[in-house]
Amino acid sequence: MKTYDGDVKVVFINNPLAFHDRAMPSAKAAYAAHLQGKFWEYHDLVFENNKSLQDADLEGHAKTLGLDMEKWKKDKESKQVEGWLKGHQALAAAFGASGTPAFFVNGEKLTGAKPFEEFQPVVEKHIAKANKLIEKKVPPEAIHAVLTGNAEGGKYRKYVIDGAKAPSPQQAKKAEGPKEPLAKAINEMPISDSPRKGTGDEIVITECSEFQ
Amino acid sequence: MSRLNALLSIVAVGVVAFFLGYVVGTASVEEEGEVPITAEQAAKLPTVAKGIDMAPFKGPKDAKVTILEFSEFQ
Repeated sequence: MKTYDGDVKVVFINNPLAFHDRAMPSAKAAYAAHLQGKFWEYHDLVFENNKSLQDADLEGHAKTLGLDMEKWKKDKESKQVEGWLKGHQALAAAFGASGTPAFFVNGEKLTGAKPFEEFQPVVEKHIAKANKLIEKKVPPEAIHAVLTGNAEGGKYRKYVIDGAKAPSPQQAKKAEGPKEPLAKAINEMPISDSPRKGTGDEIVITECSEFQ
Repeated sequence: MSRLNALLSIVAVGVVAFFLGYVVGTASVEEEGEVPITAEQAAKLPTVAKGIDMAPFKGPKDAKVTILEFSEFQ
């Protein structure tokens, strides 16, 4: 952020994963802090103490920041915060951001925690593209929309820029339609001529491997 | 005959001038791999990313580069 002061914006989208049982309460607590203008302060406190995510710890951070505790408690359990989180999870699912962290630099995906050096060329490439557009008199505030028009097959434009509601992971799965039964797929695998060991047919382990 | 030639020349120059004007006027600001768009169309694009407008962010609203960070606290 300091290197590209004024050129880069970072938007935090909470994507609490189901198998992290304290990720959702922490996300709700942080968004409740956001409603009092203290998201980043809360974010920093939680990350500094990320082994302590129980309700008492989360409440302690809110007290440390001097939040209005009655409002904070009410907000973190509110429909507004819940809807907000669901929307952000749906966005993550629509983009295939199934792990955390995942980044989209003007729509270009970077997965996993990465050092600054890996962000640098991507960010600079997009700044250069933006500068070209500015030279061509495209208004700066419309650059994000122009440069991300095609990203993620148009989904970025649809869900992020235009604000269409991304389908929930369940809806997306439903839309894919029924999958071929696994047993049928296995029976039709073209492996009859492959090298094998053992004679039993009850349990077959198919190893898809390589030598390097 | 010379009058007809002069008239045809004027018409031809007019057609070429109109065509050039059209091409320049709708000059594309297409970037490699991006959707072709004219400056006029770009000016009509949304200036707020509606899908993330309630999400916390750092940096200027109209930054050249927007990084979406999908993350969690655990």
